Amino acid sequence: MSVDVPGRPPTDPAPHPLPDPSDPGHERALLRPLDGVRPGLVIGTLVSGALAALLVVCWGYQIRNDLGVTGLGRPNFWGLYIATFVFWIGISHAGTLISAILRVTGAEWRRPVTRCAEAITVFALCIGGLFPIIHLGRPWLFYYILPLPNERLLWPNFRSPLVWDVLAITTYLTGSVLYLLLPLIPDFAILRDRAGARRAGSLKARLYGVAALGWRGTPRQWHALEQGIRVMAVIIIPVAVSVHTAVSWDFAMALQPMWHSTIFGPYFVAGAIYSGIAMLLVTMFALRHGLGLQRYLDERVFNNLGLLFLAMSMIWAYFTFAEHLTVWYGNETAEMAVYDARVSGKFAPFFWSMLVLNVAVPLAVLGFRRGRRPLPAALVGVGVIAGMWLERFVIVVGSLSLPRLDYTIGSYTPSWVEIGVIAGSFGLFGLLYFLFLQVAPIVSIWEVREGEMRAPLSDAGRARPSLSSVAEES
Amino acid sequence: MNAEARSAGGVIVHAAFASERDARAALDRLAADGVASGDIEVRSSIPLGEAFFADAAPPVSRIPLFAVMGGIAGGIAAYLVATWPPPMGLPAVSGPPLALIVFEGLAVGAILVAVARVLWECGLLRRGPAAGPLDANLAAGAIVIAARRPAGASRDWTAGAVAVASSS
Repeated sequence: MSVDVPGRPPTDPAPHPLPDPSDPGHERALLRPLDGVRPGLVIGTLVSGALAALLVVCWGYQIRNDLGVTGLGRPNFWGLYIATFVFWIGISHAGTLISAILRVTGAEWRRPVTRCAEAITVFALCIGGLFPIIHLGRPWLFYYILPLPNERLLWPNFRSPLVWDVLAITTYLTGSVLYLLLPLIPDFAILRDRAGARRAGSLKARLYGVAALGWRGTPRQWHALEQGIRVMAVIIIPVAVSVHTAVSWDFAMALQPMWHSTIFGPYFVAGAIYSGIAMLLVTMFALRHGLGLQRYLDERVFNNLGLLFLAMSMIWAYFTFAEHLTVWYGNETAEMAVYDARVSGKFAPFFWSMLVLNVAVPLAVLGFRRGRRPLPAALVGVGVIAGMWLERFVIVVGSLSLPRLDYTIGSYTPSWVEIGVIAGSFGLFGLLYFLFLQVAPIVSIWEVREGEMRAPLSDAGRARPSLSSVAEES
Repeated sequence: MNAEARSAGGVIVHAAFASERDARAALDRLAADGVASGDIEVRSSIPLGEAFFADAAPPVSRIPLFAVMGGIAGGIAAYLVATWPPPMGLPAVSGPPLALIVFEGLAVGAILVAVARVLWECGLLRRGPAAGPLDANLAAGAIVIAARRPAGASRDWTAGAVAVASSS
């Protein structure tokens, strides 16, 4: 780039000596998963892969023998598949929303967290988007929902919320993938240069070179990249809101008791962010201890996320109470049947478990600073993940199980095929994440470096430790 | 360093500096020696602060403008997709769903065009110059400055560098 005649002297008060290129120092923890074969990661990949294979086997069995092998039928034409679809789309709100909002608000503590979160978003979206196709029974007919000109003059029914889902999820997936990949470019360039320094022309250097797209790190490139990331962050926020709103409208647009509610849009978005933060906390805890990332995913990050988590718990509780109070007060027969089944009937164990896991436990634990430390926060996160899945189950199955027409008899019992597919979906998520850990740094190297270089003096006037001093300590 | 300077021949001296202060001082020395800005390239593994280029004209980026244009194009495309084929005397899509569909088209258009513009402005996906001799230092966090200087010229500007190399 052009550098004009020099003017003002530089402003940083003291040099920041950098580690020897051959000794990554404190960044060793970030780079270790990418160097060679790590037994722990391989084992994790294989175990997740085995569980993901269960999804393939069960789905294959279902394709071979049709949807009759599931428990779906009158009156529950939607069951665990749709509940889990909503669950995974909700989980996907972790990354992009948290990463984007924290980036737009300039929260510096987000730097080690953004990539973990963005990866969760992409993988959860891929898995969530798989479920409607699984639920189709004949997945090769999926293309009917796409606007492709055909001789039968069929066109998607754009008045259907299911079509809105397709549009919203496709848009969100496109945006999330690009939002994950853009900040990865400089890190791929770092990995390219490292690999090239170790062995010029190695396969690793060439592969990372392709991924880096020719990145050189010039000021012009940095300016354009940062502008692009900022623009993407601003665009992705309303898209994320629209996605789970569109998903909620799959239910709210139906004249089904305890579905047809105007509160579903914001209720689902709040629940999505809530479950997303839960998944992020659990993932961060696993990364912190599995990869030795305590320096990056430190207690401050868990405390800040814990506070956000606590706030979302209260917001979710508020929406849940508002929805149920409205139904109870209206005392409409069909809706009260569903309400009573939830509160004191056959869905009561699921409903009350949901409230305990989503409200009571988080408030009791996260309300105290000690509760926002990594282990308790992660445990609460596991509970919320389960609780939010139960919420979707209670909404989907709970309402459909109480038909309003007398002749509609039947009950819903999930079959082993459905349970296998759902368990397999968690394995698939783990598999994708483990693979990602081995090809890209899970904490953004350049963002963390930038944050460390720009760190202001603390309140006590103590400077943050220089990179070299930290390298000596570690 | 622009393509002309790179292809003009002569020796290109690369120096890696551990801090923005040292790199800035080197740029000052290069400017004092009369080296043209087109003959200098600065590379870093993190975005350099605004103070580093205090007197340089800020780069101009049209990414937000292109994002808006992409959004408009995406919204129009979504509208056309949703309302095609021509309705048989009835609207194909009602107002509220059309608003949602146009919004999604707007968003995906803005995203795709913004990313394409980023790739264009960064000069990515094009054949570019080969790796430099100090890329390992760059990967470790150094700021690498490459300057094309006439043969025999002094290298005083590299004082304070953690590594120096040459290429032609």
